[in-house]
Amino acid sequence: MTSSLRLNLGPQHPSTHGVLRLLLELDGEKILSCEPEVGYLHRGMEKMAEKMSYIQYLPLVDRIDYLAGFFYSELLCGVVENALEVELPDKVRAIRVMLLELNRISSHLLWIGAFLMDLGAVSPFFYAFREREMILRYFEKLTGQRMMYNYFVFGGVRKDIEYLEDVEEILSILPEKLDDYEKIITENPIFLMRTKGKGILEPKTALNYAITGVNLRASGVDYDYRHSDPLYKGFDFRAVVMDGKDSWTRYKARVLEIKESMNIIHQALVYLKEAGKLEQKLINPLNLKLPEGDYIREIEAPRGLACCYVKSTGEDKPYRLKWRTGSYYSVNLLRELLKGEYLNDAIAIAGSLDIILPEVDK
Amino acid sequence: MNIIISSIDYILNWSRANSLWPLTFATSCCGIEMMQTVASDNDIARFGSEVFRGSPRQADLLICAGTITHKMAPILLRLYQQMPEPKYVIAMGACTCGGGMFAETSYSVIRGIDKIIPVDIYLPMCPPRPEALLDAIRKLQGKIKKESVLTRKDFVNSHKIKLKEECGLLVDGDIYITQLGVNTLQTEAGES
Amino acid sequence: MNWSEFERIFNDCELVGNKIVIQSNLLGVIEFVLKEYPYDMLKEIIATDKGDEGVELTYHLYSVDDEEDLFISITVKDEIESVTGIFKSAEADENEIYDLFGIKFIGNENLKRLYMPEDWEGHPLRKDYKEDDKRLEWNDKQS
Repeated sequence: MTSSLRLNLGPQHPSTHGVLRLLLELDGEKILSCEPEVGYLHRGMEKMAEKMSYIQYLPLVDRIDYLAGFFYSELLCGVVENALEVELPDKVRAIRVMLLELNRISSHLLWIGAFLMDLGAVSPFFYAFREREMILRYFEKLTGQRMMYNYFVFGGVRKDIEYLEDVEEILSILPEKLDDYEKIITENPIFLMRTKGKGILEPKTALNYAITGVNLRASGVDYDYRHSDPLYKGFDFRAVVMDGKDSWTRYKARVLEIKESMNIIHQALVYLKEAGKLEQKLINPLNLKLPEGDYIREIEAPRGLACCYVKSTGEDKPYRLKWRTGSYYSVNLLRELLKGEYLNDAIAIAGSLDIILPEVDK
Repeated sequence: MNIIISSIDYILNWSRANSLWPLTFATSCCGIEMMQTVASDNDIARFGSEVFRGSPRQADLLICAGTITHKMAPILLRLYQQMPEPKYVIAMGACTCGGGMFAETSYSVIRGIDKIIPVDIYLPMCPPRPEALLDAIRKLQGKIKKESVLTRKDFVNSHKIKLKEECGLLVDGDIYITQLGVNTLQTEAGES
Repeated sequence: MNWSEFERIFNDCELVGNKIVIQSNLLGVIEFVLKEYPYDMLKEIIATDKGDEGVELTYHLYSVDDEEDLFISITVKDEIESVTGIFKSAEADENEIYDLFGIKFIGNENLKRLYMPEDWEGHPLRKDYKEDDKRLEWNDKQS
């Protein structure tokens, strides 16, 4: 008798995920089916790599996930270092780990601001960006740029680390600000009504859809690549695994991850204050040729597991280069997770999965 | 004639320039720097942009922040046509000014958005700092204050869409194309 | 894993490190591997264009409890069976490979282009791709 309504949640909408298009079929306010459509930001990163040498491609890699630029730089440098079997000295490893964890904190802070703005609360957006501005100013003093750093090179870093007292100031201000946010957000009755019990993700479904990162750990599966990563050898931390499976648990897991990252940065700072001058052996990037074969490198990025695969035939340009990113599979999951929910809840659930579009449309 | 109109011009231009309300259109990395400009350290509300509107029918400034690809081009054109007159465009970032980092070797990026819609201010850098975006808005306010009611026709003519005939797309005069396809053309009656 | 049993049943395969190279019968191999050893997720499907021999597809499996990887690789020319019945994450991967390389997957109901517009001509990531779509003429014109 009644036919359903087709609604287009178009590529331009006032939330901060980017250009994602959802074709919904509604019956009243309940969603019957949902079909995501991507590809509005496809720039052809993989084909461009076959026409450029490795050092020409390195500055382009930060634009794949602009909130986590250090992670993707580290992937490309790691592949080249694996292929030529180069071991990194301890001070270089400590510098890389400290900058990676600071980047993870700034990415999670932006997620908190954006998620709460999707739900309608505008004040936490301004608080989160105020803390993020402190971290970006430190990066600008060190590398010269606020968002696309281009600081890691094959075999090490561009120059020695400086201004460590700014990092100490960040570490002393951040804990009490985080407690302020928890007081107004975590036990808020409106927030609890909108996120507790919504968007439940079972562990078997998550593994079948190849979900990794915080979304998987908030469903009870203990998989954190940092424990078997040779870059993090010698650091002492634990993975945040919770058992709630809904949107509220994913929010709480990200707040606890910020606290774990501060712990890792503190250990790296203690080492860096006593270490001597930087001594590194850089790989010569001109006419760099990798030996024949397939090489792979994985890392735990803020949105899931990220991999880079390079196939080389002995020339100075790669034959094939492929990226695997975490948000690509979360968009695929929306087909199943949004069936049977109301339209207002759908925006909140899609926001809690932390999707960024340039990672999906490389 | 100019002496009589000049005080009307002054009031109209002053009120248009000091209350530009932008549209939320952020595709890529430059969108994060636009969000950083809205936040509390660099405040865009003190220059008149009190809110960012969600619908193009209520906005009068389009800050195009991010790379535009061949699949996204018809949607940008449709948004521009839905905005009411008078409307202004800022091209933010290197990708919108002339293709940016992807201009040499990519197969799906449009080399600059001024091939599709008319642009008022170009703002290069990758990505521009929040202070640079505030500087661009100040320059746009200076440009608006030099307009006049008598030259309204020239203003409307210079902001009409003119696309390339050889690429199989479109036409001149009052007919605007909203569906960009290789073999099919659908035209709508235009508003002048 | 029980290699001698595996080589007895599927006798046209080779083992190099932790990578298996097979010639045919992809679904049978994957079901056998999942029965013997609990691989949990399919991390990615990697496609490489090898010129005249066809396109080589590599399936990357992973087990969470034992932290072990396995690569299964097969070379195809035009069509192959789809694994969406076993792993649901393969739907997105197979649409991407159909879009960029032109390989059809039998059994995938939702096969359509993912990244490029619906009426684009050609498959971009092949080695013999000529940029001959009409919209690419915009790049040379003055604005």
